[in-house]
Parts: sequence; C-alpha cells; structure tokens
Amino acid sequence: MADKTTTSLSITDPIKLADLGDGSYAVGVALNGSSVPNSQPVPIKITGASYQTVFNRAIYNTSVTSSIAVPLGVRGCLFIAKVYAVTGTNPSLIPEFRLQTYSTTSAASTSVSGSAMTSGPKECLIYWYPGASLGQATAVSPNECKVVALPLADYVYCRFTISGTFNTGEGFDAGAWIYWIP
Amino acid sequence: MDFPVTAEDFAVLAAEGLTVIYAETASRDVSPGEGWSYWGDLKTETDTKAIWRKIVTIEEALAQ
Repeated sequence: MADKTTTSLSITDPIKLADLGDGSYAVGVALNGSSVPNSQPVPIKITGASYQTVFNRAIYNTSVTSSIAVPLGVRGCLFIAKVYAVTGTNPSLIPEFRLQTYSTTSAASTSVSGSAMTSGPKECLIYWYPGASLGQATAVSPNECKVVALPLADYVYCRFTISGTFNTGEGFDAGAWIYWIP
Repeated sequence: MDFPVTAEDFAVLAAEGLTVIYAETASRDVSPGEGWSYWGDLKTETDTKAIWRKIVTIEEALAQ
C-alpha cells in the first residue's frame, strides 16, 4: 500500500451523484498522489445542499419524465424548472408548460405530487420538505412556487408536461434542476 | 449562426462561454436591434408576439 499522502480537493463543478445500486451514492474524485485510484467512486453522505440536473437546458416540445433515487441523508428538495423563452401556439389555449413532481416508494403504488405551470419565461419551483408551509418558500413574481409538506419517499419523478403546437425548432427553452436538502 | 436545440448543442455553446438570450416584439417586422434573429411567434388566444434570440457571452447574459 502506498504511503498516506495529504491532498486538497477543490470542487468547482456541481457534484454529480452516482447511484451505486446498493442504496448508497458516490461522487467521482481524482486524488493526486494518493493511494485511491483515479475515478474510483468514494461513498459519501450528503451533509450540505447539493444539486443535480434533472433535464438539461434544451428546446422541449414534447413531454418528458425522469426518475431519480433520493440520496441518503436527504429530508427534502427543491425542484427548479426555468423557462427561458417560448414559441408556438395552441388552437384554443396558450402553449402550456407544467412542472410536475411525484415521490413514491418502490413498494407502493401511491404517490404524492406537486405542480407548477407557465406559458412564458419564468421559474417554476416545487419545494418538498416534511411539515413545510407555503410561507417558508416564496417566489418573486412572475415565478411560481408550490410547497409539498410531506416526506420524500425512495424516488422522485420529475415531468415536463407540454401542450401546444410547435413548428420545427419551436418549443420551450427550458431546463430543470433539483437541490437536495439534508 | 446555428442556434442550439438539443442539450448537447447547449453544452457545446456553454463550453465556449456562450448562451442564448431572448427578446420579444409586437411582430417580426419589428426587430429588437442589431444581432437579433427571429425565432418564431408565441400565439395566444388574444395576442401574438414575435420572439427573437441572440447568442452572447454568459457575462453579457448575466448583465442583462
């Protein structure tokens, strides 16, 4: 075994968690001069807020869904969907973008959800935290914030539900991120 | 200049320190200014707006 070496870490990019499949999560790190092989995952427990990208920024004109395992040590989270701009139409309504979130256990078919919607540039936020009240999370107009006061289960699901008629290249320029709250 | 559509397109742009900003005008006949490209219309029951876009540095976008 190599001698123990002191090194310092500087994390400048968002931490991306990897699901190890055994209920734990890891972040890949590279340690210069240490005995830990480069890129070997090091199990961690979240002690501070961190975030993950749910949907990368792109032009969306159809609905999409993503499921994410809730990391250990997390009690709540904040979903943020940002709509940068919109083009398109709908014969009877305005084009609509709805952020929907669900949390469910792998063993249960029931789920709880929260949703926020927009037809123009703004941020849709959904704050999940046990016992939270609406006053604990507010958004500056025209942004919208919804609160779900229930515990997170094993998984969260995030969905962009999009309606409207879009020509080629048109749609919602949007992305979504989730902040984990210990 | 091609504007990004996919997540990969946006990532390539971001790696170059660039991003996309938007502006709206009453119609496509009215440009918001130099360097803007018409993207499309946003049509509602009562209104139609022309949406324009422009690729700028991330610093320029944050300063807006």
